[in-house]
Formats: sequence, structure tokens, C-alpha cells
Amino acid sequence: MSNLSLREQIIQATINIITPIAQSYGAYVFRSPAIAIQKNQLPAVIVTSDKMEVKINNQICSRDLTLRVISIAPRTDDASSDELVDRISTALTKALAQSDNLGGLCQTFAETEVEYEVDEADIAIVELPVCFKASFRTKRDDPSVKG
Amino acid sequence: MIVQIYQAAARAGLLKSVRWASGRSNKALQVEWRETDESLLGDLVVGTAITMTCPTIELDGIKQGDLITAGQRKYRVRDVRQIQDGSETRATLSTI
Repeated sequence: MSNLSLREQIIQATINIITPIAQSYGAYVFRSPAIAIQKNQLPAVIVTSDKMEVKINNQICSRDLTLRVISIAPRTDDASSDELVDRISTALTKALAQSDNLGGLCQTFAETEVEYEVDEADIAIVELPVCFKASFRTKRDDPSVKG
Repeated sequence: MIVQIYQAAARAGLLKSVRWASGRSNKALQVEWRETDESLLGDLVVGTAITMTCPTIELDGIKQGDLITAGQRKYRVRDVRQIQDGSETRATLSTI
């Protein structure tokens, strides 16, 4: 039995699912990078975790973890970068949707929000973050054990 | 006065030679050239802010989309601002 929390297992499972797909598009994968990534590391996929809501009911904790899977690509011309970032994001979303709730780690794993942003310096960069909510339960006294 | 300052800087080798193409005109310029790191997408990515600055009188009529050539590299003007008292103009460039 893993002594990692279910939260950490969910993040790792997400990264394990998306990494080969992202790499097939030539994208680097980063988890919550502490420093900004460089232009030569694009296209890229960044996985970050936001806050986790916790509700306690007797000996069970119900947890909702928000994960952001951010696809980023440089805009070489208007059509191609939007298409590239869309193709990457679509493939990742599809794979996660077909993951059977991350191999049974969660009760549900669902897409909740999609954003879109463009920023520009010497090159324009397109960002497409997709938010997922992983709902899962653990024992109250051990976040590494399913409840 | 500002023109003389730029001429002195050019003689001292502090400026960069570029060509500015707009419509049918094509003009050689000596500009102050900067390439500085810039945070993009809320600090997720580091890009490069490329700017060129010279006397406004030299850049009269420059606009978004104009072409700048520096050596073998080509850039597109994406923003134009007058700075200081308006006697200098700074163009922000994107690589092509």
C-alpha cells in the first residue's frame, strides 16, 4: 500500500496519463514549475493543483481537488498555434476522460472549466488551461487510504 | 537636441543599424536597441521584449505592422509609444 496521500497519487496518475500524449505533440511536461519556463521549452503542458476542499463525515473525508492542465504553444501564425494548443488540450482531455476516474483513484474526475489567453512579447504565446475536479474519499485519519 | 545626442551615440558605436520598411518607403536608422526578459502568462513563460528607440522625428509615421530589418533578422512593429517629452519614440517589436 502506498504511503503517499491519495491527492499526490491523483496528481501523479494525471501526469502519467498525459505525459506520453503531450510528448507525441513535441510538448514538454512540467509539474507546478517554480520558475518560468523558457521559450525554447514550448510547446508545453503544465500541471498544477489548486486548493482541495475537505468535508468530514464520521470517519470519512470527502475531498474535491482541482487540477489545472495548461497547454501552451507559441503563436507562429494565427491559425497554427491555436490549432496546436487545441489539439494538445483535446487529446489530454480525451485521455483523462477515458481513464476510468484515474484508474479508480477517484469517484469522479470531471472537466469543470476551460480558459483561453494570449500574451505577446517577441513572440505571441497561446495558453489553454483546462480545470478538472477530482472527487475522492479517504479515511479521516489517513489521507493515503481510500474511504 | 535629442537628434544630436543620438548622433553622438551613433558615433560612439552605441546604436544599432536597422532598416524600417513601411509601404514603399525603406529607411536606414540608428536606434537604441534593447532585448530584455519579460514575464508572460502571469509568470509561466519568459519571453523577450524587443524595443528600438530613436528621435520621434526619425520615426515619423511608424505604425503597427511595419517591417524592421536588423542584420539578417526581420521584425514586425507591434506597438508604438512616444516617450519622455515626446521627442523620442519607442517601437516594440515581434519576431517574424
